[in-house]
Amino acid sequence: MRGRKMFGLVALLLVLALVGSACQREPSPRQPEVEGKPGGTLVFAAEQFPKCLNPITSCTNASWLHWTALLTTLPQLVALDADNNYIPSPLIEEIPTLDNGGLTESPFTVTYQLNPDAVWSDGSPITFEDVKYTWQAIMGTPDAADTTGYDKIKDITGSDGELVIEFTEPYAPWRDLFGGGIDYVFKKDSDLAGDTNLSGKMQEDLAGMCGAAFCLESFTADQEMVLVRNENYWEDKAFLERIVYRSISDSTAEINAFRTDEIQAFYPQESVELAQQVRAIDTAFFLAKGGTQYQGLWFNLDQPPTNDKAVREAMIFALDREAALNQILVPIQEDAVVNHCLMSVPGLAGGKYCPELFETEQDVAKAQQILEAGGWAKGTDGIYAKGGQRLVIPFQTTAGNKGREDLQTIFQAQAKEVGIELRIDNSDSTTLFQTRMPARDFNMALFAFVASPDPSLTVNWHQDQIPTAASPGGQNYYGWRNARASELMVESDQELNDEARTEAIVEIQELAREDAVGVPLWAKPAILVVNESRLATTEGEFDFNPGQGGFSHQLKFWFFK
Amino acid sequence: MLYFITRRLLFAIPLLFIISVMIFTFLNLSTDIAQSLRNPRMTAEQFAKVKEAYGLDKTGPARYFSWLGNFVRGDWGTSFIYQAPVAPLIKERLKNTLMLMALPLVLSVLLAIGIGVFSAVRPYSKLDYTFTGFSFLGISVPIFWFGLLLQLFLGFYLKEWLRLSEPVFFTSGMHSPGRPEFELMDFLRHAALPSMALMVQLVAGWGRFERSSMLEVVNADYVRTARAKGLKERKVVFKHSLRNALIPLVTVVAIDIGLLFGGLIVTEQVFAWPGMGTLILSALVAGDYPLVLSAGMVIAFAVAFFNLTADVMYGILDPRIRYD
Amino acid sequence: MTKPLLSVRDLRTHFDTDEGVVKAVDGVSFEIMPTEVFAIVGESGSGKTVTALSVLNLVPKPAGKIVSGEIIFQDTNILQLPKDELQNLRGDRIVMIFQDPLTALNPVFSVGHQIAEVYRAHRGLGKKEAHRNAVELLELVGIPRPDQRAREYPHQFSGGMRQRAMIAMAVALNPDLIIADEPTTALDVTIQAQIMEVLLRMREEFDAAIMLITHDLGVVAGVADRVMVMYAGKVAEMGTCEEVYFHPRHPYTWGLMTSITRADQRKKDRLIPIRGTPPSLVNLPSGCPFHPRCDFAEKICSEDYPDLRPVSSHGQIASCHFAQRPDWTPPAELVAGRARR
Repeated sequence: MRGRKMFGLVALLLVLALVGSACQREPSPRQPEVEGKPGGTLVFAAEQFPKCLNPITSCTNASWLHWTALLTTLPQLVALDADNNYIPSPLIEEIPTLDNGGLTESPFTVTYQLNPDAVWSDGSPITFEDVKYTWQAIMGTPDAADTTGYDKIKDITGSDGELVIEFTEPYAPWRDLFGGGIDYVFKKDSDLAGDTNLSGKMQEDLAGMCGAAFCLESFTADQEMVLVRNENYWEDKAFLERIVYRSISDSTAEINAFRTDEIQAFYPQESVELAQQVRAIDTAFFLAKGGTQYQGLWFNLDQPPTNDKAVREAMIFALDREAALNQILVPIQEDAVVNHCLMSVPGLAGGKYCPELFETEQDVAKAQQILEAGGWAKGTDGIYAKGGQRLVIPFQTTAGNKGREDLQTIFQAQAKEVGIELRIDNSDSTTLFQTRMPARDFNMALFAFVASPDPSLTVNWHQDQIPTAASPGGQNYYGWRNARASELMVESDQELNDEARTEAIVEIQELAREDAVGVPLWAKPAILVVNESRLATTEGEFDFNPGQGGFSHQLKFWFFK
Repeated sequence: MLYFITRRLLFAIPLLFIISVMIFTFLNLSTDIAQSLRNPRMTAEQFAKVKEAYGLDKTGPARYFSWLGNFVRGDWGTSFIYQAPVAPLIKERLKNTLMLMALPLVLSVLLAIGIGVFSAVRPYSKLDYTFTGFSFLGISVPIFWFGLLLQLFLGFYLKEWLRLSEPVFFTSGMHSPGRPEFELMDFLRHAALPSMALMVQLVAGWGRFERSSMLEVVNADYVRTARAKGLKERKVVFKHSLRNALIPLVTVVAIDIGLLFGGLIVTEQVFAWPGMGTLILSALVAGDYPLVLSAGMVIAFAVAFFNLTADVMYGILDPRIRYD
Repeated sequence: MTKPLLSVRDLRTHFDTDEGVVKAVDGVSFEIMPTEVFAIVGESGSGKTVTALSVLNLVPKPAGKIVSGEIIFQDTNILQLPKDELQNLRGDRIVMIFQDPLTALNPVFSVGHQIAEVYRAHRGLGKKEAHRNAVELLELVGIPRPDQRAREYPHQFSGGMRQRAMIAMAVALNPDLIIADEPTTALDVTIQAQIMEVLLRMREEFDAAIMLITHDLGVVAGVADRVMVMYAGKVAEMGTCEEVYFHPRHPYTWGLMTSITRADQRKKDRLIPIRGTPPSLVNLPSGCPFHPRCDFAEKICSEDYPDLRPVSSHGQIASCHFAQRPDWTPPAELVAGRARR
């Protein structure tokens, strides 16, 4: 669990330099295909029920807090759609760009045109004052979980329907401030009366801050949370009258509650067993989507035998990833695909950051050829050897993670066909991610990264980020030293032009493919289960964002038949 | 007797102190609450700031004694993960656990006595073997699996079979969605399945126990004396035998009740019952020491108290025991 | 001749055990006359206690079972009595005193309560009256401060006091037959005589017959009217006290004689225990069950079971092939020992 967080950290570290105007493609506005019917209480099971509601402090580390309470009740500036594209939220007219004059470079400012209709549930307008208050609260709360970006804001000003954020220095991922994945705008004129230290607050108070389709009515930790329809929502109002989130932590218990109709929807952790059970239920709509977390095999380029490029390259051809995918993932997500890029996923931003560089299939002869060209010779035991050293690759992953351990076994057998022995060398996630990886005590590790909609590769892959005894903080555990790639990383972080930036990111990955720094596997799926005999959506088919957004933004389209 | 109780309660104080030191030490060694507070995007400086805000920059002993000082003054501190005061949190969860426990406890004791008496009076009869079989099943079946079965059969299939729009017995939670006010029927329909899951364990264990202590007693000389006196069989069994066979059961039940204050982690998980078990489990995993320590104190006190109750009851039930 | 109070005919009480059927009592017949003291003597495992329990139909079930025989008490066959009548008989007409008064008294009820229970169960007396009667009884059996002691629990009594209380409980309803199963065995030697004295005094007082069960022939002397010696679930010898004591006809009885502890025991007169151990009741030796331990056994002893045969004109009987031989007398040292007594 902590390991995942750790790598969340690794992957989510945001772009450091200025990014240009480039805006995402305009999403085609969805036409309601079905007429919705208002009313009804949806009961939705939450596997990891939030323990507290504070949108600033460590409470926000729980994804379920955003999915259940925050994304559905608080307004955002920029939002993410189901496919992880940035879209304007109902609060703003459009996403600021250089072209539309919303961005200025020097000083760096972002200007939003606020929707004049946008109001809080009590009818008071949502203004720049609220955004400013949000910034002050985040900066004024000593235990704020994340002030990244907010600490670069110099001032927030505005007037009727306009919001100007002035930065002290260029800040590329500005779209993730007050919006994007999991950031929000708070209401200044609430019970908190503009208090800017929100430590230990924002429990009941959150009920008074409602600027989205639903409002929080009540919350009991580990038990239930009740949302009611925001009758003053300026956009199309939600159909559901109430949403009750119930805490059910066991997925089989969720299935049972689903069958008795105690709950009508849930969002479980992926598992083959669960997928099979749910698919067997007539009333269940089951949707698995590849998320933004993606698995891969990551080599240590300095430890033998993976310091030998021939070995790494041979591994790329030794594995039958398609077969493993069919065995492990397809039973859950029928349209799951093998990922062919190292540093993103195809399902993110239309796959533009994910060049298809690893379209390889298992090719035993080629793998052996590569090894032999690299000076390896097959021993009598069928395993290659060089200079008296057998080709044994220690293979690390998080002990106790059954899915990963199963995968290790599959790969072990595949590599053996070539003549490579994989020796399993696992540790629990804390040891692996907090001790062994930073100490670069691994050879070939299997774990997941989180792909960002706004990628920056510097932290994980720049050659200056290789941790050493002198500077232990770096996160390029892999030891990838590529001067050209490192140069491109810095450039891409400062690139204003989106196309040029995308090109740079693609080229970095081409270089990574050449150096064979890892083998991409696939994106981890997220699952939504809905009782379709009772519920429908005006979107036609139930959908969700398999990344940070979850199912929240889509709930307003749901209705009881 | 009063002296005995006082002495035992006084002994509990250093015991609680030692337990709290142990809990804190183990918790400190095995988990790091700071990691739960860490956000992926946090820089080292931000993290240091957060740690300072929560007093986590101080050493272990300093944090422990600060907790202890506040605790004895009645301030149980604030939970890190719930970001709420510990005392009301424990109070509410303890209430939930007790609500779940109360009825099954009483029923289990009665059933266990019934089964024990019957099995001992007619040992090796068919019904005795049936009870014995069920007991072994109850003891050996994983409660987790059994709970899920109950949900499926008494929750789902029963509903289907009766063609109802909602299940007779709900599979999760303490009350119907969005209806937190206490309603007896609603509560019972939610408590039924977890209660059964709990009772299976308790009745199995206590029933076996009562059977063996009854068996020990029914062949005792004084039971023979009672028969030789010409007492009615009912008196022989329920007065002379049961009275003696209850003494050990009282002890076991009292000690078990104390332990149950720690919640029923698995039952609560399966049936989504927000009791002490889930509270402590999440606090333990995160290393939320103010919560774990205070809850630990409550449980330790409950265990000590019910142990003492067991001893006192023993003294009342068995005139041979004297505490002076 | 008066009618016997109790007559037991061909009693067989068997136990089912994992090893097989234990024939604890196997074809025992005897009679007890009103007000008579009838002693049953034998080693442990000889079937004395089971015989006594059978009389009250108290054999532990389901292992134990009376497979055949009749127990006629005052014209009724106890074994055919319905449950409630049997319960009426127990504790009222036939009572029993057990070996260990500590375990025989229920530890969680006061002594007075346990005695009073008899009145309440059989006479339907109220709590107070029953208690008053219980206190009187305690006084009768020689317990000082009976009012206070009645409220105390068995563990607060000494061994002798407990047995007095048991006796009090037994005689509460003026019984016809008191079965005393080793009433003094568990007690201090110094107390044993006192308890026997109380028991006999009660018999005088209430005109009851006593079935006295003991392994010690010494206890019997001067107390019992008639003696029955049991071995391996069967009667070895039976006769009047004088007959069995002065003219024992069964070598097993001789053996019991030599194991009597006497107050005047001289150093050179060692106790001569019977050699060997009592036989397994599942697998009895062929012929006479005593023959493997008998110093006088001959070939026939291992072949045929010696039926009980009369050995005197007064009704003494013995189960030994040679019992009718005129010279069949115990060895000299035994006689010498007895003569000194």
